Amino acid sequence: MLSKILFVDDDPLMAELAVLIIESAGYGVKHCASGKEAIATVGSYCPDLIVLDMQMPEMNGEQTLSELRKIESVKATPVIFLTGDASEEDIARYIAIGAIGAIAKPFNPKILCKTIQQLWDSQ
Amino acid sequence: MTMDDNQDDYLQVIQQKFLVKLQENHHAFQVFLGKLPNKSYTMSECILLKDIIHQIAGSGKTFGFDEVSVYASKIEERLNILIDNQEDSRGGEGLEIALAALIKISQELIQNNNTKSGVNIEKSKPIEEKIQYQHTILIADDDNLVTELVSNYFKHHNIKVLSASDGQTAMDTIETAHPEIIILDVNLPKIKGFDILKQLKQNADTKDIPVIMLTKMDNDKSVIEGISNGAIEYITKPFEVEKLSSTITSCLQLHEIKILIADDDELICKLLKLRFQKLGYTVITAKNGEEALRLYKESKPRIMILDIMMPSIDGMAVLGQIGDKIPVIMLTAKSQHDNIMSALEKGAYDYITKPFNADELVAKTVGILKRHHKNNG
Repeated sequence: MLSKILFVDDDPLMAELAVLIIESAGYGVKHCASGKEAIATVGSYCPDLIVLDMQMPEMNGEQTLSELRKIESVKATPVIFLTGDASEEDIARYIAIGAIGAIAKPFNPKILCKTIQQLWDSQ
Repeated sequence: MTMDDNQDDYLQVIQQKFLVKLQENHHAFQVFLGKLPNKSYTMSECILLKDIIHQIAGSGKTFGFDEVSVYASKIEERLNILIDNQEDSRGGEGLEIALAALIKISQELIQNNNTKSGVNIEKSKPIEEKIQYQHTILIADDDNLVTELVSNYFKHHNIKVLSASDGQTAMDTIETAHPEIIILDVNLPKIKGFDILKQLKQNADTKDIPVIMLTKMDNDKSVIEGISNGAIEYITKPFEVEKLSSTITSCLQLHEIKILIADDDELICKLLKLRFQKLGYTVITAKNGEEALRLYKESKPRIMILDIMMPSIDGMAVLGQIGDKIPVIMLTAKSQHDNIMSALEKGAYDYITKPFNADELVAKTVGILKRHHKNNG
């Protein structure tokens, strides 16, 4: 069952909105502002699913994913990318590198949780 | 209340925050717009403006402001052309119109919001008092638009940015406000950046504050001068706000890590302190075992470098009390083989024999800190 979500995005407003929405839908959620922070966080917080913004400074979503995969506790945790590039080819590429799917940015806040749940169910 | 109602409420709160963000940048937008006709803008301004516009373009639509997103994307596109072809000014075409349109639309949105919600965004003097700033930094640059854009950006990351447009103001601000990090442009009016740096390093109150220098591209000489004068990092102009942001974040993180050095040889303490400070760490030193134990309890260092031969309480006794609660590297004379063995048994992490190579000790310490950081999350 999906109960704990880690949301990684460097835009503070975007993250605030996402956290409010995800929480109000009844999931647990923790926010990290960078890939580095996410890597440090998964030591103590073990999410069922990770939503990763693709465009972040220092470490982008792809680099973060490959670092996360080296950590035992999140080796196999499903990951969804949040990205401006969400054409079919892009999504195929994300799946090839180990994500379960992608959510296009800008996303519609009203269906954010639905989309996350659907991607989770579809694995 | 249904879930959807809840979400509408949340969206409204975020929408207002987004409008506040737009409002905060209005002044900067207008200043930049004023510079467009005679091309008196700088590349630093273009790049910083692009960073902020990029965020607005990316999130505007999600927050329900499609039009803002559309114009912001147009502005971003044209700023990119301007930045890529620095000599060629064609990017400016259409930029003026799009920027003016964005300013107009956001003003209308803010006014609509004010009448609808009864919250006056311009007058609510928004978050200034409400934000719980976690850090205070100073940026000294004579380009006011640059400091304004940087300050607007960091406000939303809970970092308060003080600004100074000349060297004298920078010195005054540092004295009164004690920022945690100082960002200095090399070419400041009144007092040049390097002269400020030198003065800061000579003053006991300010010598431990990490300094980042801003230099023009390709100026190796100034980079070397900066580093040798005690700057911990340099950033070339024009810079991206994200680059500055990640540098500042790592500086703040490193600065929170304390290294305790306990040795009765003051020269060793001084030398090591300087080396670790250059890397951005905070260093505390103790002249004897008693002081070391007191500082260990008071300052909660992350790692300790401990000389065995010290007056009053010696290193072994100190280690006996600390054990393996934090990593301890023992400093010992070559002949003390027995001491080394019993130190390791008592929980010491590692040892180095005197006379030692400072590079090796620094590398060892940094390695241990990194491994510990990883393991402890």
